[in-house]
Amino acid sequence: MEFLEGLANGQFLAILGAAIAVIFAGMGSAKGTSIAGQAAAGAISEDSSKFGKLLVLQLLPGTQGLYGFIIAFLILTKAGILGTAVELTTGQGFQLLASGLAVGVVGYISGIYQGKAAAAGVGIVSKKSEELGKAITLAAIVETYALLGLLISFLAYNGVNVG
Amino acid sequence: MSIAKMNKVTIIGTKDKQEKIIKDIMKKGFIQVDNNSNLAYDEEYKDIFNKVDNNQEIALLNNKKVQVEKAINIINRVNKLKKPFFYSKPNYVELTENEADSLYKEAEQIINFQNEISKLEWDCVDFENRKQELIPWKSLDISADLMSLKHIKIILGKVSINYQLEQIELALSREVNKYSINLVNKDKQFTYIVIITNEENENLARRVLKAYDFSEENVIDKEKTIVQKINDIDIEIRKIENKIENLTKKIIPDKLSKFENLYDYLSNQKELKIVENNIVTTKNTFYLEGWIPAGIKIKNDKTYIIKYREPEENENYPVYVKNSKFVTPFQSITNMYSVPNRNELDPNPIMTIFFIIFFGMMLSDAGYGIILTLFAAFIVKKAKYKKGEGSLMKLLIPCGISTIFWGLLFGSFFGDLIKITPIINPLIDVMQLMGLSLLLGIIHMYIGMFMKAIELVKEKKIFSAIFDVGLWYITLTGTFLLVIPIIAGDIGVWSVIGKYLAIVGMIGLVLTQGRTKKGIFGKLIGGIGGLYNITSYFADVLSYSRLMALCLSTGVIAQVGNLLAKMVNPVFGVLIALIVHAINIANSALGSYVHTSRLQYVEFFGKFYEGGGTEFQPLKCKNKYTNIEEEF
Repeated sequence: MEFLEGLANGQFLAILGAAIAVIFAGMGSAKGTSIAGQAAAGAISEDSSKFGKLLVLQLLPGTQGLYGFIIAFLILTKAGILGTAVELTTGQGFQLLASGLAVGVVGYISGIYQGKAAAAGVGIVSKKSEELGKAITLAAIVETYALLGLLISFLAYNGVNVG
Repeated sequence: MSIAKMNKVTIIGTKDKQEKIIKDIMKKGFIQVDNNSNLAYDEEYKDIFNKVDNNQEIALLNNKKVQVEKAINIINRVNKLKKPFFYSKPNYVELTENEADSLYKEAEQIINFQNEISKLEWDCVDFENRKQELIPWKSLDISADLMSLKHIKIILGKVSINYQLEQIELALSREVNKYSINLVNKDKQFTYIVIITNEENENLARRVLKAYDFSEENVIDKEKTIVQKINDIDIEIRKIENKIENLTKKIIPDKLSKFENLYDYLSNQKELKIVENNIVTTKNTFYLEGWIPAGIKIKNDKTYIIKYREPEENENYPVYVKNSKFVTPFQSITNMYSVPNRNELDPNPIMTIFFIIFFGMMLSDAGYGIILTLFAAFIVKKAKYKKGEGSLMKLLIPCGISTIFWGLLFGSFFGDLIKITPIINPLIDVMQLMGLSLLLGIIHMYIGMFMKAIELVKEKKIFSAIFDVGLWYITLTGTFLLVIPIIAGDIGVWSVIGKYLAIVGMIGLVLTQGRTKKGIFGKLIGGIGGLYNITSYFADVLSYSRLMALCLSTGVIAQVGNLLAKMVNPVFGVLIALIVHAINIANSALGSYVHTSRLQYVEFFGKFYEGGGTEFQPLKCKNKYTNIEEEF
């Protein structure tokens, strides 16, 4: 019984939501930056002077992890785990859990795909280093969807009233 | 403030003035020279015009450039010179051919010195190796006479330390009758041993030793003992080192600036030869064509003929976008997308305004703004960029100031480190912030559509302007007014106005969007299909919600940094805050730059901008080390 009560605990559910946001978005970014980083390493082995430019490309899929982190942090604050303690009902816990989903899931997928787009951009930069802006722009289009995920997570989070 | 008009310029002069005239053009840097070399093959003109082939000379000049650069690098390396990050380049000095030749010879000499040094260094390494081979035997005092005895044989050599001396001795004792084995030295890799045996057993002993990978060494010779030999080598090495030192002293930096000037002279000379490749000549004259911004006239000392004419209709000419000092750096953003074509409106001034607003709103922290502005201003002041250089740093200054403004509006100064009462609090007044983002988006988009309308009117397609832009204005405004009450509550009579606007607009669109299609049925389908575009307009508007998202992202990360810093002791706290804020500035500034650019490219340019022009690239001196005063 205590186990079930624990599962229905509002704060547990909120932590779960924060964890989902951080875990999935972080995984997406880790994978995305890795894909872009591997491609960049190949290009750097040919011409090491492009390191600075390629680093920017590798960083692009890293933002999803940050977005997940932002939402997780906000959820933990609202759930009273950080800062002032508050009472959380099971229902509110579930709401906070759900608010973490958008940024987590979209962050995971878009991180990976942005990594692939960035890796393709590495090809542009290694041939024409003055076209960095175009490579960045192509990869940044993918990020739009991570931003939309962040936005919906934030709006949902913002709508949950606690205390 | 616009796309400049261009004139075609034709220059005809005598051949003896050719080089001087082209060099003058290069220094002024305002003419883009056309490639006319095909005239020499033209049916009509081929009897008049000749074309020089400078390819060999160009290759030679390229080669010389590489050599001079090599000499410059040698001087810098040998004298451990390093250019400071910011320095003002000396002025370029024009050279005569003779001066250049003699300077080039001196540069070659530097390379020769360096080659000699490299050779000597190799000799040195050689001697050093030989010395290393002798050192283990240093303690062995055997004269050469002993080595040539008839009955007693002495074998010197080394074996890997993997074999124990006892092991070898045991093997020897099994096969060889008379022998003696002695350890001379031992190092990390080898054991150095002396085996003494007699004539009969010599070959036997060698065979046994071979099984242990024994390698014989002939270190004893008649003239000198080992110690003497080592001393001799030391003397040789010292001699070589002296030579190297003397040569090194000859590589002095006093000619460095001259070599740098020579390098620039050579690259200008190469540009000149490339131009000469592209123009045609007759027996005594040359003929050059190119584009020059209208209104600029070349000073003519009456030694050549110069003519200007306006471009013919449909004649393609390079695009020179002329803007104020403030807008010019932002042209690099537009050019990254595409250079405007010669017939369209210059999008740069309006893009600049929105770029600054959006960038500031996304970064939105007064502290970050101050840092960014000061940083960019410092670099711009120190680096002394020439026209067209350092666009990124130049455009960051107004963007930084805008960031300060938005930061104060949102009450963010290094997150919540310095408390300011916000006018809009991004974490609380969420709907206001969202509304503001989308409103800015709608204004941005409407201006883009307005530019489209202006272009259509300029092309005398007034109906297109009314149908494709005007009707959309009505439809979109009406729809927005209809949507607002759902989110933001009642807006009274406006929603009724919205309803009628939307209905009128939509009917108009259905009636007009299919007007190019054939048949009543096609027109209707086209009209309904056109109306469907409303989804893309809505997607565009919602895309501006990224203004809010990035604003939140900057602010929250900054606050998290401050919170973490408060949790630990003050020293660590300051360190953590510094690191988090540094990362956040870099990351958020990059994000703001990227997403602001995207809003311009996709949402704004998508409405009206065609691009596809070729950039005006005037013939210029591309000096690397020296400065040339440009008059244009």
